Amino acid sequence: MSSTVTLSPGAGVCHLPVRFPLARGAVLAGGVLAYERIGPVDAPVVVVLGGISAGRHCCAHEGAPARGWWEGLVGDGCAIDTRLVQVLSFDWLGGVGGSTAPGEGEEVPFVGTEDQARALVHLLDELRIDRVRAVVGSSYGGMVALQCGVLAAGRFERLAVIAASAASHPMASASRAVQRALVELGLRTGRGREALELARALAMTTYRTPEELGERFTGAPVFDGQGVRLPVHDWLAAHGARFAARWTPERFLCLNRSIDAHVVDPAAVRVPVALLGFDGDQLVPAAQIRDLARALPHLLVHHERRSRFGHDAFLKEPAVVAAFLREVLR
Amino acid sequence: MPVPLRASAAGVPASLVARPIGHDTITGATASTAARDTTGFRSSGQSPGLSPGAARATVHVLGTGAVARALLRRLAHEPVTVVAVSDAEATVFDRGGLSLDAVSAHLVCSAPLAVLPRAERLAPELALSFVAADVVVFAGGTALGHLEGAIERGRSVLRRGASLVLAEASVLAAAAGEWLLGLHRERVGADAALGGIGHRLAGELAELRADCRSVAFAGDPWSTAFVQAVEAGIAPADARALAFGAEAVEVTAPARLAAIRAAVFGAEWSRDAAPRPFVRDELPEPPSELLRARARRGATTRLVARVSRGGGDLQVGFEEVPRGTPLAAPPDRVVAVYELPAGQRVHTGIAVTVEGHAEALLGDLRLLAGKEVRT
Repeated sequence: MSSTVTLSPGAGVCHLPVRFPLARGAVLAGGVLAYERIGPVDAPVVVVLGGISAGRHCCAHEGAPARGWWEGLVGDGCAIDTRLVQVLSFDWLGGVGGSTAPGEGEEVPFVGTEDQARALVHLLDELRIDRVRAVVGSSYGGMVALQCGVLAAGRFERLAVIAASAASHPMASASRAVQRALVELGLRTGRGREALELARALAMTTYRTPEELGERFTGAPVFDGQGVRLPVHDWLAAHGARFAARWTPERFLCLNRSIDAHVVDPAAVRVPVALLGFDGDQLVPAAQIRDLARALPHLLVHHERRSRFGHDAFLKEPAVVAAFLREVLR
Repeated sequence: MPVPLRASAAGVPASLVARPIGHDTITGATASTAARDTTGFRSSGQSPGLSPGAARATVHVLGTGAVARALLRRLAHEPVTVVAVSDAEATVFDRGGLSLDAVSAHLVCSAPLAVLPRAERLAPELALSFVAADVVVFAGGTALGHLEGAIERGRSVLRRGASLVLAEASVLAAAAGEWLLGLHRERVGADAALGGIGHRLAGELAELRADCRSVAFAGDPWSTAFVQAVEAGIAPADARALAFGAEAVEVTAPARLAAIRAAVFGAEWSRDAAPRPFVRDELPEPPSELLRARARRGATTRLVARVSRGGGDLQVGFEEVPRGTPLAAPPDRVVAVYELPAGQRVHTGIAVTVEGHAEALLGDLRLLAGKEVRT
């Protein structure tokens, strides 16, 4: 019957319809969507969507000077130039941030990528934005971008989809299923936070490549009486702890399930699409993106790049991503 | 043993026979309490209401208006026993439990309880002490002139260890400091009275009392509907008719904010300083040209109540509000925005319609029904 959010400076909030039906039968009652909107008010609008850990804050700006998740790619003079375009982004329903999400102990609703797209369309309606120059989506954001192309093709001029495809690859789903089972076990046993750390650590092994980890973690094993530790273990533990400090098990489960259930019929995407994939991406293999490229009715361009960072290349390869964005947004 | 009530020659349904309500499990009365409501009350793995094996809580509903009737429909499916319903003049009562279908059928005709056979003509105060239910729901309209009576009735309920659920913002505002902060606070249900944000307020009260600098409240469905109609190009007279109908409706936002003020800032309500109940005619809407001009530049207009820590009276008026901001709420919800050092804390509630209000009362009642009556 109610929701509570804390909005940091620079954030806006949009009230969703009092009953917002979700794709798999649940109903969000009185939900809100937290967003940021920066750039000249009369400039074309570019929607920027990231992974599940990303949110509304893409880059530092006057209203919110903290560093954003795509710093260097969004901002004044960047590939997405906030002197020339308005950038709009929002916190995921069901995730961390200011949008409605399950609280601790609350039942976890099923929120699909199509629901995120519908929430975006509602936000556009509320802000009286009739037309969007582009939706730039990476990872989970790319999945949502594809749903936008199905849901409201007339609203969007083009989609730029990075490291995402029409469905979750079985290999990715396999890892996610184990992550999910870990967290569900943690909830049942009262060890939710520990489980969340482990799930994130497992996820990190899928975000990078053997090549990168092999270069970074070359130290010898340490025997500490309780077992053996390698430098990569400390890296995993640090990521797990950082993640668990921000997330709750419920919110993790919500978006984890959302990714696994993502399905889009490429033939139904009626907006021109530009694709960028990375060879070495374990979650969204390059071959899967090639299949998508072949199936889309309006393919603008498809680039495949080699990266030692795998799926995380959309965060770690700014030069490559910037070149792609400049090509798509010109 | 249930006491049969004889059907009168006037055709009162013979089915108005008091009988125990079945011991059904809670199914929820409406879709909005379905298990998947993400912002609802339910916690996974926890059943609302009583523990298994515990006696069913008894409930006394004061009021017979639309909200009370909607609540009674819901209570028919709850593991509680409604033992009494009262209006200003009379009470129908049965310790074994009333037939809610029959009571509701009578009330839908807007007939007073007094015409029912075996209805007792009791002042509400006497009815409350006679019935002595575990949970008392104040679900009726209370004009300011009777506000002190409502407060005293509430105090009497709490003094004898029972729980109190409130539908009316004005009653809560008048005793907010006492009922939201005092000894009995855990036996007062205020979610409905605050438009569905009472639970949030209670859960975050310590932080808000420490850090909140100011509060703004928006949530007047009728003026919002009027504004939206004018923005859409409807002539003001037609917009007013659409939005307000024939009722002279009290504006509840000031009373709700007064209650929040008392809880968060500790300002005690007094009759002189109180935001007296505004009726709609006293708050003229801005000119339609102004409303439309704001809409053209991407803003909208809302009736907003504001109060600051240590800052005097409530301020109430129509304000320009940017679209896509918390106060630009649609007519079907209320919003409280608390200014904190870390940013704005936004509470949104949907207990605005009759059904939404009844749903919130039900949520309050479920939380309280399991509390032991302490005498």
